[in-house]
Amino acid sequence: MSHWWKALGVVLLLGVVLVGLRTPLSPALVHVSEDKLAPGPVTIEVLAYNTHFSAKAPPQAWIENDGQRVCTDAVEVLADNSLKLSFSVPAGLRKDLSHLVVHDPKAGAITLYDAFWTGAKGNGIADAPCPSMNVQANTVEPFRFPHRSLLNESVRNLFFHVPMWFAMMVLMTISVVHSVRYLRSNDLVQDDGALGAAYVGLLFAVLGLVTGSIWARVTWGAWWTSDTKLNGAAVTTLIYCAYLVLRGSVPDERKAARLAAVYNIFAYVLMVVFLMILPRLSDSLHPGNGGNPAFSQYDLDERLRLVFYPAVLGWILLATWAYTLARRARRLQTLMHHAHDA
Amino acid sequence: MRTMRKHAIATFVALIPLGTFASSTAPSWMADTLYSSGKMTAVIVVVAVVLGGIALWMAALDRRLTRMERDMKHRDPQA
Repeated sequence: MSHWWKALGVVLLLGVVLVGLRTPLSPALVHVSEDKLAPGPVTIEVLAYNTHFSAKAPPQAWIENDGQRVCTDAVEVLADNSLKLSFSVPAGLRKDLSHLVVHDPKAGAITLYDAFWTGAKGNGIADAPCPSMNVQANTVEPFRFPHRSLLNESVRNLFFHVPMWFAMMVLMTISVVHSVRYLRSNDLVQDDGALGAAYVGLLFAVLGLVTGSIWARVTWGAWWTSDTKLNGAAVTTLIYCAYLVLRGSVPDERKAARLAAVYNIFAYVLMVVFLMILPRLSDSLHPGNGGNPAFSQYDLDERLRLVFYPAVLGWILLATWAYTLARRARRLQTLMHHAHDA
Repeated sequence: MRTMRKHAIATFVALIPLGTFASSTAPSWMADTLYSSGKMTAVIVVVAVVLGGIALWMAALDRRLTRMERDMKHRDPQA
């Protein structure tokens, strides 16, 4: 029996913990003191994250509206993460929403999209090019995770919450394969496999629910929302709890194994429906569903993927290892039981 | 086996206070990384230790099951 894949799983997960928690987030603008723009002078205080603004080399800033720029009159560096910007906003901005761009000599351009709302729609402003600035040539782009509003640092949960469900689905697949094999062969060894996989899979489902709930609290503001994806996950977990209850309620070993195997096939189909089909048919707060763009489309960029895929593989390997342990322990228990009876 | 586990837990518990003594004679790499502002590295090391500990426990369980399976086969070659 080879063990290399177990070690691979552990090494991958240690790497994921190291890189996934150590990598800093990209600099970002997180708050502006004004969110409406009217023609005339305006002073805006900007709060940033992971920036190192310096009064010696102050950043440049401009408001961008439909490709046109309004440059700052003055930039004051209040702290390494805070700026005071003065603008003279001209009349005639074309679009409702404007972006704020801060160009730092060290960090480069940092954009807060849709930072301001401009009431009236004009015909455009006279183009005044912003004064040129001394931009340090950034030869090597440092490895950083993207800064997402609302998610902030919690974006790292991607490596620890989502793989729980990947691992759970892999284990449930292993379980249903064993169940089908049991029905074809009547070999109780197959039933031990089905039970072991469902048991560990259920553990990962519970971990997925708990971690998801914690993440929901810090991003959506609620421990639980009545969301298709969330309720589907909860129902799936209950369906597999019922699988264990069903087994336990039938005293005859072979009858229990047979009933459980048939039930497991239905449970697997329901899991696919509740976790993968139904959430995609309705709107959901959860990424990857309905009208809500998936992590995979633009949120999950290549820097997150670089850690996310090893995380998924690592967790699946660890879960599979746990399943082999559960299955072997169950097998031994059955054998000892029989030896005792004989 | 049970006493072995008790020894392991006792050793682990005995090692915990070492962390508090370590601060008085911290080597330079610790001052540079573990005690850096924010102390995030300390959290990462803790999580890595927990993960590594669980992995070691699983490896021990794996070995124990293998031994039990061997014993079982020895006793009852049909199993």
